[in-house]
Amino acid sequence: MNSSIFNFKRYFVTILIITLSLLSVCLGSAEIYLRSQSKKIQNKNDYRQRLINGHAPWVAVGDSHVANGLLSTDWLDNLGQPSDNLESIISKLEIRMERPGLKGIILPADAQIFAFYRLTADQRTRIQELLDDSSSPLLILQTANKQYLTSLVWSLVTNPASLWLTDQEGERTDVLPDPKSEKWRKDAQLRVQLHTPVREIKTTLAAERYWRMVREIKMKGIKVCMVAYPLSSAYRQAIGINHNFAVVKDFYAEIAAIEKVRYVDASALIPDALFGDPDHLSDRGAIELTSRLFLECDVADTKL
Amino acid sequence: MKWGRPNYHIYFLCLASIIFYGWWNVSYLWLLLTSIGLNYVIGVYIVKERGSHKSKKIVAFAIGANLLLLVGFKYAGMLSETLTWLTTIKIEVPVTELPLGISFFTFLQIAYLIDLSKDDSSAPSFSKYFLFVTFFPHLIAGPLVHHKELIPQFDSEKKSVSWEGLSVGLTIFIIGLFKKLVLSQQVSVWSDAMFNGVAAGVTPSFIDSWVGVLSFTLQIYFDFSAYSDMALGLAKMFDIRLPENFNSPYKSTSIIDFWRRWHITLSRFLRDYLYVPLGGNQNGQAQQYVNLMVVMLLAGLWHGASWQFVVWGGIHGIYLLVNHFWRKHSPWEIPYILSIILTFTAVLIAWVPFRAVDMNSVMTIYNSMFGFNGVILPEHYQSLFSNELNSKFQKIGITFGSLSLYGGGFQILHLFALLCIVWFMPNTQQYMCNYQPCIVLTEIEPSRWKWNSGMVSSMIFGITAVYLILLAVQGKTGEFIYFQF
Repeated sequence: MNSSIFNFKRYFVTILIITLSLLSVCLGSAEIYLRSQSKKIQNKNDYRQRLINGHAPWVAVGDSHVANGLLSTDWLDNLGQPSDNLESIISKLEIRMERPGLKGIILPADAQIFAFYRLTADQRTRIQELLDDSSSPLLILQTANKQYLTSLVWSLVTNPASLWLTDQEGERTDVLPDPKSEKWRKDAQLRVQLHTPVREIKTTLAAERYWRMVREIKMKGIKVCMVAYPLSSAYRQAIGINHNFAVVKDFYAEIAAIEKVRYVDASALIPDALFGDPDHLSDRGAIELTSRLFLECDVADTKL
Repeated sequence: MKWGRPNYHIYFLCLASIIFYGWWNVSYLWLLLTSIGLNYVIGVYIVKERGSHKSKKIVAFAIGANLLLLVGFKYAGMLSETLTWLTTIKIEVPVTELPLGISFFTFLQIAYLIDLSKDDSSAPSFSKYFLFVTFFPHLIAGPLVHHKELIPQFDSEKKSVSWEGLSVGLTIFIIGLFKKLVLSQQVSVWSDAMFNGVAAGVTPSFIDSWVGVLSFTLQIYFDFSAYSDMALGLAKMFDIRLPENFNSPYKSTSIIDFWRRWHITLSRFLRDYLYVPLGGNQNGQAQQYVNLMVVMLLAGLWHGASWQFVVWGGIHGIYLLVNHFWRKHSPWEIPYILSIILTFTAVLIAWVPFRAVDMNSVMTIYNSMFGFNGVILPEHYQSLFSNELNSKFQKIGITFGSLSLYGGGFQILHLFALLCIVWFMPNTQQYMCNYQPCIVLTEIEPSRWKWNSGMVSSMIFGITAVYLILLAVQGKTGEFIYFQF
């Protein structure tokens, strides 16, 4: 055996050994960590159940503003999920409307629905993955987890101690950040930048789809309540006189007026103390908003 | 490591290739197998009748039949839509999924039959022919291999799997995977956002449109480069060398040079089987220009059943005409660096119809790129300029506002870093040049920076492989752009 062949053999075998051993450690640690997060798993299962089998007379759909802003109760199934865009909102409504008993829908009337990153996000697989029953027995291979696999592995590499901590996520602490802090203000500015709607939204297909969605829900005899979700004062201040936000607000108001549906502008309804971050409510804030919307959307009138 | 009995390696690779194709799309496996079977029989017949008048008729029939298959599965919808648009006559064409790799395996076999009718070689055994067409590293997206390049390599006397082949092949494969999962990933997000945004009715600003198109320009570069590397690497692991298909095309100093570096085997195919039979440059300059234009329009059409691809081919055709005309008549030569930048910009502009969803989007993007939809600078830039300057900006249509896609410093740095890789780094063939990873078709300048099979190198590639596998499990792969052709 000459030395170059030995080199190639050693090279190839070394790559294989490194790859297989390192991969086993990474995937094994990630699996162990995920299995320790029982509350997070429970939350996901609960969400899936609400989407597929939920029977509350009202549903709320939308992104994290909805997911964090409302509670699921006997009258309401909260189907809000972070990052949902118009495409996934419509798909979820279609799934729910296949079952009888739906009396009303709370639709989001937030500016970020028309933000560029939401309009262009491809979420076709998102719903299918939620409906897919044949999820892998390995948690790392389940869609909800595997999309964050590299960041999870990296966080375990940088902080191996987290492997022995359980249920870090899913807990919402009562110790909230200070809404008057500089960090809060900067977060608000960043969020506003991200959420800024595109110019001339009325020319977008999304605007047309939103309007059509409202009309079609109404035609099925289901009540619609459009809600602009609460925002902290710092967030509202960061919006300032941004023309694009004002155009979106006018657009929602126009739909509500023409289609004769309820439009609740709750953007300044909740005090800063009940926010978890500049544009998401805390648990207490969610309790408050849920009861306020019960009244504002005339839920009691829908003969529950 | 020698294979056992003669031809066992061929049967093994045939089986692996069928499984590979079936894994991607089992529903058209019958089409691939039928096409191979019929073309092989025709090939045997051509050899038998070689030299006779009948032979030419058989070849013409075979080419027609292969093209008909391609038209039927790939272009019928487009033809029907065009007919409806021109005459309002509506012909219903069933919408079917495009058989994977149909353009490649059809062209590969057409070239084989033409060559067989011209030279004096005998038909290979069926198993070797089968493997020549289906060999999985090139089956779906090329390179378009010449039968004389590949079939002799299947010879069992010479065949073995070596540690060198495995090491070199695996390394090239990892480099390719890195390009796909890391280098082309972020730019594909920006590119998709801009092009999908336009399709959804969003008019991009001047900066957003350039960021989006530049992102696609880099995405398709790394995507195709990645595929080419992975194909070469996989083949090399079985000690088979495929022809080179990609040689730093954005380093080209002209469009003529670009087409010698981008999809090299397709350019070779079009030259040998279309441009030369049309007369090439033998019948005067005017005829040469017509031939070039025809070739480029068909090259565009080969990429996809849409008029946008024809437009893309047409733009490159015009570029080539200008390039040839300039070479012949220009009084001066463009400086080296300027010629690279000019070529790159021309190629970038031409990618718009290639990627855009429809022709309306193409026009919207071009309008934005050339400032007809106004120029918007990021809002915070306003404070950088004096009031006087700001009002001057306003007068010439430059305003300040929020941009959709432009992501500031990080984005600029990211794009700049990728451009540096494209322009200044050696390509895979240069990096691996000591080990002849491919059949060289162009001039490859050796690089000072070369791969070696040392311990440090194995650790770097091993750790990189783990990272790439995690990314792949995460679902970052997506299909290669050239798989749709």
